Parts: sequence; C-alpha cells; structure tokens
Amino acid sequence: MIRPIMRKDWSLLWPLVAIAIVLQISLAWFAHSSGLFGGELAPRELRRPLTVAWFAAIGALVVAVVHQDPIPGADQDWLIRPLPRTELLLSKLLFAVLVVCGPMLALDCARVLAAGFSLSAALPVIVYKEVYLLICFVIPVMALAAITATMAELLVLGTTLAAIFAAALSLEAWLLGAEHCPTCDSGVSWIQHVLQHAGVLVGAGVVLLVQYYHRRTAASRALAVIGALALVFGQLPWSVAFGIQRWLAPAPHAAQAIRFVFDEERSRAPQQESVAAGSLPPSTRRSTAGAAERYFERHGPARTAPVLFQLPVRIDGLRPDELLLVDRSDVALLGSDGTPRYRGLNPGELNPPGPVHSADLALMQAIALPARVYRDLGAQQLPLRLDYSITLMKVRGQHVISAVDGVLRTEELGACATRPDEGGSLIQLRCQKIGLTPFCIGVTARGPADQNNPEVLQCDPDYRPYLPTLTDALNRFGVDVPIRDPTGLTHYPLEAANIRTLQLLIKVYAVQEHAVRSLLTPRIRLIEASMSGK
Amino acid sequence: MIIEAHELVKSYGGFAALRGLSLQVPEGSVFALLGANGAGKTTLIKILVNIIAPTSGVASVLGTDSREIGPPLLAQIGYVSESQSLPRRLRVEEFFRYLRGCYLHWDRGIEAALRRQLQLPSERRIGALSHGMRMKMALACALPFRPKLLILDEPFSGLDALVREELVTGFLQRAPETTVFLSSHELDEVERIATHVAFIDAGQLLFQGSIASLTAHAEPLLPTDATPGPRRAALRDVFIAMARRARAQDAVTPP
Repeated sequence: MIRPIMRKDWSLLWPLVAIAIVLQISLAWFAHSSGLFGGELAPRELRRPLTVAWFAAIGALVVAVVHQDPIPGADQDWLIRPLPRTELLLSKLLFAVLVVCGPMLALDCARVLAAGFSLSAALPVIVYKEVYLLICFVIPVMALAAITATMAELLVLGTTLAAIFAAALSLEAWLLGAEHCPTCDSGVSWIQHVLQHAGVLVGAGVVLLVQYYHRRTAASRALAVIGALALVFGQLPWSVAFGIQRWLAPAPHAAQAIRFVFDEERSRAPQQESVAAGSLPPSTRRSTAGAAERYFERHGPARTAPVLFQLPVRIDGLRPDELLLVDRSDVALLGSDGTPRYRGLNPGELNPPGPVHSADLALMQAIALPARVYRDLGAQQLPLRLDYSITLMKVRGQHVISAVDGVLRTEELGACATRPDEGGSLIQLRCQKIGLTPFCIGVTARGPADQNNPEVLQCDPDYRPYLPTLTDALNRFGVDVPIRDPTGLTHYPLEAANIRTLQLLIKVYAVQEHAVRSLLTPRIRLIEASMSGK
Repeated sequence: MIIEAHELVKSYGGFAALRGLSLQVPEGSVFALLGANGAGKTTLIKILVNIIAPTSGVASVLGTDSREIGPPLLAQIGYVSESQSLPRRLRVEEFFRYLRGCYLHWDRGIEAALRRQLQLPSERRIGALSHGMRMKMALACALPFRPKLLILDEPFSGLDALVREELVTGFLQRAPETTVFLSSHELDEVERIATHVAFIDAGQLLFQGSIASLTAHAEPLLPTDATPGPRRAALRDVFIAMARRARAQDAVTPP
C-alpha cells in the first residue's frame, strides 16, 4: 500500500518538490562558487534568504505530504480505505526522506567531490547529517503536521507554541535569574541540545504514534504544549553537564598539575579600586566590565548594576604547549564557619581575556557581585572562594602554510588557503573541512629570519563530539592574522618584512581534560579599595 | 444481520447526538435510514465505519465490533458520503489509479463500465468537478472492489433529478449482491429502492422494519383525514407523524 500512497502524493506535490530541489541546488552552487574566502558580496547576501527559503520549502513539503491524508477530522477519504496505519505513516516518512534527504545527500556528495575531498571519507558524515536533519527537523515537523489538518491550522498552532515557549522562557528567567540556562553560551551547551533533540524526537514519535494509531488530537496537542514547556524548564544543572563533559575527556589526569593561586604579593601593591560599573562612563564600562556588565544586563533585574572588583591570581602548572580555558567560575563569600553567606555565578572574566597560554601571566580575576550582596556583606571581613570549571587544551598538530596564496590540505584542517586582505594589514587563513572543525587554533606569522609575530588564538569553546551543523557537511573556519596596524598604533615584529616571505604556523589545540579547581582568598573586606587581604 | 447496533450513545460535550439507538440491518437488504437534518444519521454511520467511537453501546458490522474495524474489513465496505473530502488536485484517472493499488481485488471491468456510464472525465481534476459529478465519481469508486456492504450517507443530496435517476437505475442495480445501507432525508428516491427503513429523530429510533410492515404499523399514528394513497405519500406522512409524536413525548418527559 505504500507505493500507491506515495505515487498519489507525488502527483500532488511534485511542484513543491521541484521548488525545494531548485533551492537546494542554488544553495549548493552558491556555497561552492563562493570558495573559501566568501566570494562576491551579492551572492553572499543571497545565501541567507535562500537558506531560509529552503528550510521553509522543506518544512512546507513535509507538512503538505502529511496533510494530503490529514489525521484530525472525520471526512478524510483515507479513513474509509483499507490502508494500514503503519503503511500510511511509513509512506509519509519515506516520501519525506526521499524528497528532502535524498536530494540533499546527492548534492552534498557532489559538493565534497567538487571541493576535492574523498567521497568514501565524506559519506559517513553526510549520511550522519541527513539522519540528524531527519531527527531534528523532519520528524518534529511531521508530528506538528499530524496534529493539524490544514496549513492555516498549523500556523496557528505553531504561533501558539512559539508564544507559550517565549512566555515560559520569560517566566523561567524571572524565577531563576542567572541560573535559568546554566549551559547556555558555553562549550557544554551541546549536552543540553542533545537532550533537547532527544526529547523532541521522543515527543514527536509519541505524537505520531498516538495520532496515526489512535487519532487523539487533543491529547497530542496537549503533549506538544508540555514538550514546549519541557524544552524551557528542562535545563541541566552546570555541575551535571560539566560532569558528563569531564567523563568524556580523553586524558583524565592531564590537568593534575594545574592550580589557581591567589597572588598575595601582587595584592599588596595598589590595585584598581572597586567600582560600580553603572557609575562608569560607557567606554570605560565596556573595557572593564565587559562580560559581567553584559551578563547582568541580560540576567539581572533592571537598574542593578553589579559591583565589580578584581583579584590578582596566578595559574601554576601550565606547560608551554598547553592552553587553559575557563568555562565558568562561581563565587562564594564564606562565613566564619566556612558556610557560604553568598554563592552565585561569577560572570567576571579573567584579564587579559581569552585562553590562558602561559603560567607567567599576571592575571586579574574580575568578580561581579550583585549590589545587594555588596551592600549587605561588603563591610565584613570574609574569605572569598572561586570555583572554576576549566578545560585544558594541548597542541595536537602543527601545520605550516605560506602567508600568500598558500594551499594546504591535511586531515586535521581539511583544505586551507591564505591571502592578504586588500590593505595588506591582515593575512586571511580560511579552511573547510568535512564534519567537525577544530574549535581552538593558534596561528603565528613567521618570518624568514626566525622572527615571529605574537600568536593569534581563536578559541570558541564547543566540546561536542558530533557534527555541529544541520545545513552543511562541509564546515568552514578561519583566522585573520594581523601583520601591521594601518593606524601605526601597534607595532608588529614582522611588519617591515615582505609579506610573500612569511609563513603561518598553525597549531591545532585539542581537549585534554575538563576539571574543577578552587581558589580561596584570605579574609577580605569588599568595600576597601585595595584587595590587601588584611 | 449485517449491521447490529445496540444502545448506541454518542455525546459531544453536553449534546447527545445518539441516545441509546439500537438497529438491525438484514443481509441483502436496501436499508434506508431516514431522519431530519441533525437526527444523528451521519453520526451513526461514522460509528459504523469506525471513524468515530461511540460514547457507549456497541455496534457490529459484518460480525465485527465497529471499534475493531480495520483495513481487512474496510476492503469489504464501500462508503460514500456527501461530506467526503477527496483530493481536489488529483485528476479522476489518478484517483482511480490510487484506489486500484489500495484494494487487493479491484474489478477493472466494473470500473470501466461505471466510468463510461456515468461519463466521468478522466483528465479533469476532482476539484474542478461539479458536486453531482463528484458524487458520481465517489459512487463509482465504491463498487469495483465488490463490497459486501455499501454505506451511502446522503448520496442524493444536492443532485438534480436526472443524476438521481442515473444513480438509482445505473448504480445500485450494479450491486445486486451488496447490502446497501443509506441515509437520506430525500423520501422520493428512498421509497423507490428501499426494502427496509428506519426512522430516527433526535438520536432515537422511532421505527425500523420492512417497507411492507410500515403502513400497518403507522396506521394509528396517521391523522384521520389522511387519505390512503400511493406509498410515496404514506412514507412522508408516516415519518412526519412519528417525528411529531416523538417530539411531543420528549416535551412532556423530563430529561
């Protein structure tokens, strides 16, 4: 029975299938023709709306195929035909797979071949991507279509679910404040996403089964609403998510030597005064408050600027080929018995910001406390504890490429190329790779006479062990390496060298271990301007 | 009995569409279910083919509980409804091709004869057909798999006299071994083809039996000035009289 149903659906839907395939071909063509460096602006601008149109087309296609034999209602022709429900469901699923995933698989294969990659190496990743799209997009859309009878109904239901989702998000932020999404914007957010995707898949599966076998539309719609709420409120605590990430780390004891130390010596020197970030002029606030200010703008109640101060810290045990990323820090003010009088997420960053690449760095830990805590506890002498969640990275591979018109092809980086920008102040390194890309690379411009510019580190923590994107099997990454400052304010060791003689040394950093460390200060009085540790 | 319903109740919120309805349809009959608009005819039919479930009570169709009706039984039941939603963008030929694949036994000879007789345009999209044409097409789709039971929900509704005549003479005569269960409030056609009738009103059965037994049963209900006449008039008069009596009883009986 599957064949006649599919043939009927094809008769009705082939124009929409053709539109979706044309959009897919256009997207693949633009992606290929734009090359590694992005190509011309006009086609680049076209790519974004095309991507949206493609998603809309495949979504509409999936909805339309389900709506050819809608589940809700009592007048549908299929209800009185001898069609087994399983075969009806399978025919819809198979149709969606064939017209959405099939062309995408063919185009992805063509693209990787055109980009010079081996099909045998790429095929598992491409298949994985299509399965991922099926699970995360096609099946959930099918479930939504199965609880509606028309596109108009689906739009109303989709809008309602989106409104419920938004209201729940707002409520959650109001109730839980800073902790309403503990893993958001962190390297471990993928764990939350996996759980959400699994939840959506299970929910969509249950809805499809309930609808196709029992036609309980009201119950299925209630389940969809519960699912939308679960997506918001089902948040993994940071400790659990980071615990899972630690368990997955490849070298469990690699960070044994790492210690965070309160630098008492530097604390005795005059320090920057503690300041209320809200009282600073905007430019100063941007430079000093940084992430903390943004954090409180997003998570804190209105008009309660955090009170910021800085602690001198040192990190011991970091080797020259290692990098340290601070994934999160929590701050606690301890009472005389050691119990926390205040404990909360510390959005303040280590300064200088970014990965720590040397144990010799004089680091300042920015600490941001809610004004209320500062007011209540600022006059008391209390020890302060910082609990760090950290990731130790180590150089996994090194590669060299000419700075101008360089071409490099390795398993680790994929296919890379270089070119200077129009002004000759930057070297653009761009790579594309099948599947996961390295999320932390360091690039050093090297001259012919053993002179180096400082290493440019690009780390955007994302510890997921699986393919990160829904739309593309070929993923791109790159770094801009400055070699001279056109304003003349910054001087680089290699700025006078002939750019054609330069090379780029690319270091790929890989995760060794995720760990937790604590730092305990002596008793301090927050309202004192200097962190003297008296 | 090919259909048996026992104490069927169907409620939608506070509204009872069927109120303890019991019915028996003998095999080989042409059974007409008569009732005014909103009497519960369509609700009963949708329960019989398992499109909706009864709130309480039991119905069996071809010996199977209606709630258990699945593909094997649906392959023996032809169903045509005035409100049936057909794929409007499909062409007539494409729809027949689709149905051929859905049924294990499909008599292409019957299909060809019906399409020829009813003059169905193969290349026309279903959505572009007139109401009468669409009904003819739906009816033509209900016979080629030789159903044991043919359920027709208001098949004459909205059709002109010529089309009705074609259906009665051309269509139903092609299914002599099939039990026909049809609902209608068009008494003229029913009177010509039915062997048995049932009257329902407000979800309750008022009468069921053979056409022959109807007049005798209804004699006491008819007004004294009602002159015995042709059967056509009697059917209408009997139906009106029964409905009035039932409503009058409802009005004096507290719910």
